[in-house]
Amino acid sequence: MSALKLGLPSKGRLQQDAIDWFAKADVTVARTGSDREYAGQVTGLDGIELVLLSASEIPRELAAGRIHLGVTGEDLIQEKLADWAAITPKVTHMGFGFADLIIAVPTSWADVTTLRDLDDAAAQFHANHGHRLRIATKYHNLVRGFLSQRGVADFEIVDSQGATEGTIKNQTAEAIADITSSGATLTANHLRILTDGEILTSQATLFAARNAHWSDANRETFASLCERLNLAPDLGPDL
Amino acid sequence: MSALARRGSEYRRLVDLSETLLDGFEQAGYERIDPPMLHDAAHVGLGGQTLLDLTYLMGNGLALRSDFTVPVYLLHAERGRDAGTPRYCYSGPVFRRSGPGDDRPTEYMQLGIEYFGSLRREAADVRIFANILSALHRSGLTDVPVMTGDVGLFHAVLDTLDISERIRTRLSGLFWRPERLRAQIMRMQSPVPLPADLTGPDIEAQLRERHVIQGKRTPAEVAEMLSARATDTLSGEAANTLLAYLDIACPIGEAPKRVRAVLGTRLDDALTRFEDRLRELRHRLGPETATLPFRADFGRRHEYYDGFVFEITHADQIVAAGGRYDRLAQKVSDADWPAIGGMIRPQILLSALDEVAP
Repeated sequence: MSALKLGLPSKGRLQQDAIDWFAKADVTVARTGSDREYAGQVTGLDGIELVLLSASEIPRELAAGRIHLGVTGEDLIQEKLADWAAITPKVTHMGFGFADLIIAVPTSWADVTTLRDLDDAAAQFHANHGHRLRIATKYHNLVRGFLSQRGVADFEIVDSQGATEGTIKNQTAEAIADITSSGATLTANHLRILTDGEILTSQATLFAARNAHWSDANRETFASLCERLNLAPDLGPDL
Repeated sequence: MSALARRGSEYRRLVDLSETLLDGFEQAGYERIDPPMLHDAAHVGLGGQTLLDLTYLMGNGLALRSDFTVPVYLLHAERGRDAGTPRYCYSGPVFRRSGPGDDRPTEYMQLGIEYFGSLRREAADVRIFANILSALHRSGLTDVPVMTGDVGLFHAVLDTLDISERIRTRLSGLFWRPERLRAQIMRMQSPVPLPADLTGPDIEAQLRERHVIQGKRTPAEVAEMLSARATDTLSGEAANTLLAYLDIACPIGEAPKRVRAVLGTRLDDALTRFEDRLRELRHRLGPETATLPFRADFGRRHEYYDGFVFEITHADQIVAAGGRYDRLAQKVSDADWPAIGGMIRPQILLSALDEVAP
């Protein structure tokens, strides 16, 4: 009988918070081997197998059904998966890993406080500089969809996988869309969030995979886990 | 997301239909060309925001074609001015990115014609429209809804108004987004006061004093935007004229009368050309063309069009469409090379034919 596969982030704060969260249900997740080895085991509840993955790969593994449950941010799920609610229904928010995906511009842009203003500035910029206003982000789909829906044009998404706030200073972008929790990094980089520039509020979330093979034993394990966590998720008929 | 399946009887039918359509265009005097699938990514933006968002950029300075207009134009530009007034036809797959939640195909067939260099613009407009329409007719699709518009007429309307260059440029750049355009017309009527902490003559200097300046957008541009908004507004009269014009939706034969009702005689030159086009339509396709629907705010959601535009739909799907794009030509070659094109989506045409005559 194959175990219920639980995908957790392979490192960092998100992993530790997730481990603490499961401990509340007397489900103990322990890394085995060295700190650098991506292996671990679950005790306290039988029938769970731990799979350690990069947080950004968890959406894909959930979608493919290679894991039954996974912990990752809503931002990553929504960025990477089409029709995510049907593929990976949310079991529960976990109350940590809060992050907002926002659009920010340099504080010196006194004329730009809303998306409308950004659209005006983008048209002006395109005419003056001969290329579109560049927005640096790693959330290409979310940002493009959000801006198109709200009538902003004349922009171009440029990829930035890290240190996104620095792209403006480096002149590889004019504005950014990134995750922020306290806003301190934005302030330190002389950036300001647009008043209607919040794309998504995200937190760490336990997701279930509709495409995974759910044996009766897997379902039972999942039910006991939910019971211990005081959860009664409504995941639809197939799960 | 779905790619093109290159086997089976459906694909066979698609190829056969495409070949028949291309043969028809060749007989009508179009030279068959085969533009490359990859082109210089620097030119992608020419197609406008809609296409830019949909285009696969390959990361090595190349882009996978998402449409034929730009690649055909580039091919034509390479031939230089001596190319004369050629007419081209082509067919092949185009590739379009799709984001999450988007089930549109990532690869589909497009087939089309382009006509460059003819200074008899109205005749060329009608020729392309008529050739596309008769190609559909010959394939068996006869009764299809058509929509027409004229982006150039809107630019001409703007030219008659007493407005600043800034407002004119901004509004003309918004034509392909009708809701946004109407909102901007409303917005531009009221001045936006300067932020309370930025008063006095030299806004740029104050910005430099108060903020860390970074990035390519300059304090001068910010200052220019702020002071323009505070002083340069659209008069109520101009706004009403624009809104009344954009609301016109009528049979194309009645459009000149309706436009004159809004603008009086101010637009006579542009309307004379519009009436030339109506005459060409009647001459080539018969008097019933006067009843083709026209909408003043119709621009096909592509920024590069700047003249006559048309779209032919079946069950809300675009079977064929096209329009004039003289300015795109100017951007690429700095030359006055009038250009108009039209395209057919053979896959949509096939499914339309199946519904019409199963």
